[in-house]
Amino acid sequence: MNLFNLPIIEIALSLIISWALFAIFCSLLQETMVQLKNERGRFFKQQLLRQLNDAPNQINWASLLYTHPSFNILSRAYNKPASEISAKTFSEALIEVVATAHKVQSKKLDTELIGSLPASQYENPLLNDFALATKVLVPSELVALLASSLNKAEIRAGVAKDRTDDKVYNLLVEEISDWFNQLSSRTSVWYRKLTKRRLFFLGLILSVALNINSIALFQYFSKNPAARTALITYYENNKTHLEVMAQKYDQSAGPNDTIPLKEIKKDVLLLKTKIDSLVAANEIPIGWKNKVKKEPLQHLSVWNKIGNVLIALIGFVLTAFAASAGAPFWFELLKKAYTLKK
Amino acid sequence: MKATYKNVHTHIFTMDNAPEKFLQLFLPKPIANAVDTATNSQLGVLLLSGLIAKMGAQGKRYAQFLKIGKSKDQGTVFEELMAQYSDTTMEMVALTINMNYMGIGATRSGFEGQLQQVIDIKRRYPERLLLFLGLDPRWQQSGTDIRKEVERYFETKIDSGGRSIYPFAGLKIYPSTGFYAFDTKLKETFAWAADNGVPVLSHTNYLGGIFNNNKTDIEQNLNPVNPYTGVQYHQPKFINKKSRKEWVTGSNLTNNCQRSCSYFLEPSSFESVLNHFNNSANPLKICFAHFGGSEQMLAAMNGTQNEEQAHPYGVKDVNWFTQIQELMATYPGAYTDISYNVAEGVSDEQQKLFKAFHAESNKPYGHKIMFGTDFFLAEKESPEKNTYEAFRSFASPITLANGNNFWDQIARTNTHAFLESKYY
Repeated sequence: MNLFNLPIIEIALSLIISWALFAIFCSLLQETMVQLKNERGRFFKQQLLRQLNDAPNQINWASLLYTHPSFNILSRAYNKPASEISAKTFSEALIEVVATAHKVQSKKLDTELIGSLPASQYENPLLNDFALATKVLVPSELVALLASSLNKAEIRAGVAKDRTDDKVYNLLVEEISDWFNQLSSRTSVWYRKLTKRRLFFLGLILSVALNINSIALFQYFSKNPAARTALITYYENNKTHLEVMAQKYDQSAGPNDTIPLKEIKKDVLLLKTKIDSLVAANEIPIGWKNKVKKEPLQHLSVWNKIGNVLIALIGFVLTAFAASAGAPFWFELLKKAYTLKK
Repeated sequence: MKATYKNVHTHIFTMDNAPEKFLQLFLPKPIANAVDTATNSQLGVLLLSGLIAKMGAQGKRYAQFLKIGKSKDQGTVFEELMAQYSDTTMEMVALTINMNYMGIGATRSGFEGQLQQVIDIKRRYPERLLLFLGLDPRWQQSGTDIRKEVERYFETKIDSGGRSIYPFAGLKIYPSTGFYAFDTKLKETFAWAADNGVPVLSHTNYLGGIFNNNKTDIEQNLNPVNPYTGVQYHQPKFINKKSRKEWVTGSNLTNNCQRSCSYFLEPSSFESVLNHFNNSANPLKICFAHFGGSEQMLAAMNGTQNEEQAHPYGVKDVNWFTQIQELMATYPGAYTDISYNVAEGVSDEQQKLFKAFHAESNKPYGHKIMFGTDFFLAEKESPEKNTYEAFRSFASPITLANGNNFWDQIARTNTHAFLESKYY
């Protein structure tokens, strides 16, 4: 007996395929909004502003980085900051910004302070000023991090007589880059969580607006083997294309502002056309015009009416959860199911 | 003397340099939060600006104010300011402000981050930009620390186009953020400023501008001992005016904070400072910006039915415009500017304010009245280009009683005298 021919399995598959299609649709819309608002770049900038806020020194170093030429050149505009910055660019810009800060340069006039510090050990003025900065700035978490990075770079550069400015600088860039890469990973995780929450709310709004009720769909698929077959056949015929689209718009995959808006628009229209034709051909209860006809409300008792509303709400919430799981999740599940089938 | 004209009062800070809850000073909290969130993207700024602009000419100007403050960096704001002037040699004084102590949270960029940003702009435009360092007694632990930091910031030259130049030209104070000009921690810095000819510009617009929004903070700082007189400044008390309208909009406490901060700002509270330096070798130059505010000017000239304007909050119960006139008449170091008021005067067909500036410039202290606009904060009254052109057109044909051209006097001679120092 082929388990996959059992009605309950077919109903489950149909529901999952519906969720997967809805999840791709939500991802497409989400990606459109993210790109219009330049959200990835702004989110990343926000995290940098938070991490590089040096309150004891009353400077937000990230604020200064974003006006540094190497950051500026990567951004489309001041309020459209770059979503991807290389660790090397970040490190080199930060070293320069800290070393050349007027707050640091002005400390050179404090002869008492300068006199109390060991003599400079670098010929390169930038490296020298950076080392000075770690000593003259007010102690803070960030200054401690920079000092620690310099210390590690010096240790890795070997004993003093073998140490060159060039060597120490490159190792310093590596040390700060390492920290930046860790921050970037954390930022990706935070962004994924934010995206999931947003997909849920987008899914909820769309499911109510377009009447995509998971419970109604389940009930419909239970009574309509033809609709189940149509949906499963559609999936089997378009599996590869759909999986590629799901991966393309996977919101959890990290920064990807490379998909042009025109292409997103094209994909949205294509998907919408396909879904519309599936819905129309099989009378799937999506959309307020196509909703499942039930007993007129006036014939129901108050409790039945409340019950119907609650069930509908639960159905919308389930659809929203499906959207937030992301299309790749559902396609992965379908892949595993088909592997079992084989 | 440099032959350039100067605008002695502009701002190029953005919301990045302001506390996160800055808008709560001007709007009820829920609306301020909604506007702040909505304007986090360019699309939001455009939509909100578009909506506000539909509310007539005033709305259009608020929209412009929002666009400048929310979506640009200081460099771009300064470039936009310069673009308003057909005179490409005109120098602009940009005033930095320390907004970390206003009871509405810390600033995004940090105060010294704000300073670093403007220093970087000074490197690019050394001949057009004059920087004033925002001074606040709460910046450092002691008065000596403040003076040392200020001196180092001024003395450390920056490289610009192969030359080494001083970055700063003056000091800005904003007492309504919660301190008096006679604060003991500012005394040493003022002494240094007087010795080096460094001018000080103080915001002095009655019930205008930013203020401390923390009642406890205000109450704790209202009655210090004046180090110049040795006497406690006991008269100020927190103003608890009741207003049903303000209670409904949730702005009663905020407005009472603003009223109470008038004590910190009142021109006569500066008298002990001016007097002290008047008796020393070098008078300290202090500009009482905005001439007390246009409403005080008009109230003094024409009278007013408005109770708050007729009896301004403060110790003296004397019109602020009048107070500033008296200070200028008495102390050689007392100056004023026409910033913000000049923008308000643009739309007046009778040119009452412009004529008042002219009349004042003919008085014995007329050599201490300066041109300034208060860009970009005055954008909601009149665009900068219109303000500059309207006032210059008004002033250029006029010869003052001393035989000098009005525009030359107010925008070149007086501004230069005020700015002249070791650093300019």
